[in-house]
Amino acid sequence: MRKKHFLVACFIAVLAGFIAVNLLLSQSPYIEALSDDTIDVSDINISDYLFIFKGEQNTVFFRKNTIEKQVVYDNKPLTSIALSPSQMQVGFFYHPNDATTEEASLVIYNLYENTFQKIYHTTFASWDIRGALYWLDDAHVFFKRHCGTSCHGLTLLNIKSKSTTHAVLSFPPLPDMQEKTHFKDWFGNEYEMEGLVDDVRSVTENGLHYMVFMLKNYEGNSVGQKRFLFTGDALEDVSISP
Amino acid sequence: MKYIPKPSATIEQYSITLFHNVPNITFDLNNQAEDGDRRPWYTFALVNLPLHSLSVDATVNWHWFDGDDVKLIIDGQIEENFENKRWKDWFWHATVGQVFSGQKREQQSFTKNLQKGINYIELWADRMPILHSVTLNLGDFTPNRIPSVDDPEWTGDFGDDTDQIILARALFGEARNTLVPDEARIAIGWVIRNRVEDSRWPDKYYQVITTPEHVSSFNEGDENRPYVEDPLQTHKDIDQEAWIHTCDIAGKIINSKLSDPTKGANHYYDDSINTPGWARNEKPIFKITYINASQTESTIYFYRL
Repeated sequence: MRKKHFLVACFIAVLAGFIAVNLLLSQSPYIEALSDDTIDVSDINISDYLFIFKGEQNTVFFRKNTIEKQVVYDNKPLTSIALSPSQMQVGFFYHPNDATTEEASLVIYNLYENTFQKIYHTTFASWDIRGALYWLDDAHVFFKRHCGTSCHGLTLLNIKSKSTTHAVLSFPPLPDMQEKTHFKDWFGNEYEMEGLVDDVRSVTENGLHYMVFMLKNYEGNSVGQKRFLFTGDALEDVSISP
Repeated sequence: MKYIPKPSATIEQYSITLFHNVPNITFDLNNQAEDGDRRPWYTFALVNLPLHSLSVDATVNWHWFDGDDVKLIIDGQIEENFENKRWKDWFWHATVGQVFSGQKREQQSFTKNLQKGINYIELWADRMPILHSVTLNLGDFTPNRIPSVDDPEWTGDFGDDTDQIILARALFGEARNTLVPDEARIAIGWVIRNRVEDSRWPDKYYQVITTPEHVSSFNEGDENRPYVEDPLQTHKDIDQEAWIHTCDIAGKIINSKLSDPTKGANHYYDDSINTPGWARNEKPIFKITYINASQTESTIYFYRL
């Protein structure tokens, strides 16, 4: 009888082991890979945000010392990330639906309250989100959007009201026209800049928030920058004329 | 490649041959020119190719009072024959002495080291020389892979794309979402074709599409740039289906199997944002209304500037 009990126990142990191994192996290889090579956005310390960088193909990576991991949220890769000027909030884009990259969400992660809030969602990401995310102050973010030929849209998103407003950058419509960029901002004001806007960024200096247009010529060489002070309800041209 | 008849020439025949032995390309011609005075005979156009060296094998003979001559012109420069001032522009030339010695066959080599680009090699004939062969040596050049519908990843140079593939990239980058109706995709494709056919823009699809700030999905840093570099990079079914569909539309626009719904537009914008500066004082010549992601109506306006 003892031998019989022993054999039954062995059989149950082998069966349990077999089931356990199969359960482990049945995990999606994608999730397995994510768990090794990724880091959740909530696991990054505030002091380590300077180690975050944008990779190729709309990806976000964290690199510190010899560690390099792709930054994810809900096991899905981020496509853009930015820390607010007060360093109390992080905004990021990600694709919540594995089946398509046309769905994208903007999430605000409050670092001190450890809360996540989805404040913007689109099923038309290829038009609605065409550039990296930037904070203008702690209540506003902006990003590029689609426009058409020889133009860019710029979306301003109020993270409290979740409302969006669109500005437009217009470029010379024909080749060999003078290198100028026309800018109609979110508040109805219009500006003309010498050069082609190559990139748009934001910067905070001495508690003031600026929108910065990087300008280039047709050859791709930098021809300077144009700065606008963001006051919450207006942009003020603060560039120093050459 | 386009042939433009003036006023009513007809192309009787053409052939396409794939050369496997790059960088050495040999044309075995063995063709005698019809009798005539100094005129263009053969032209070799190297498109987007370099030229390290070439050799030409030709035969010339003397006929009563005049002899055969062959002139070689490379990128507009005549290869001069320094051995004979009288025939300095004709590298191969027959002499009176050939009445007794007969025809003379000479293979001459020329090292040019021309950069990758458009390079022309022209041969002119006087009387009835025989051209046996022309061998082009492209040097260290290795031809780039040509992206295709099934393997569209770019080579690092959009100039390697066929017209269909570069136009499909533009349509995929600008309008792959299923919310965009095909009518809009076709119209946007025609905006690009209309520019190619407009002398104010370059006459190549890839040059029009990659003109800075004109088609924004090709801008460095644009979120859609990875999608135009490799439309299948996401490995998602929805993108694969959209890419194949886009290639089909691009091919039909280029081959005129789809007509221009815009009647000549060369610009467009989507009214979900403010009117761009260039459109402010212009009237749209065509528009398409669709239901956008917010379930509201949007309109794409098309302009001819």
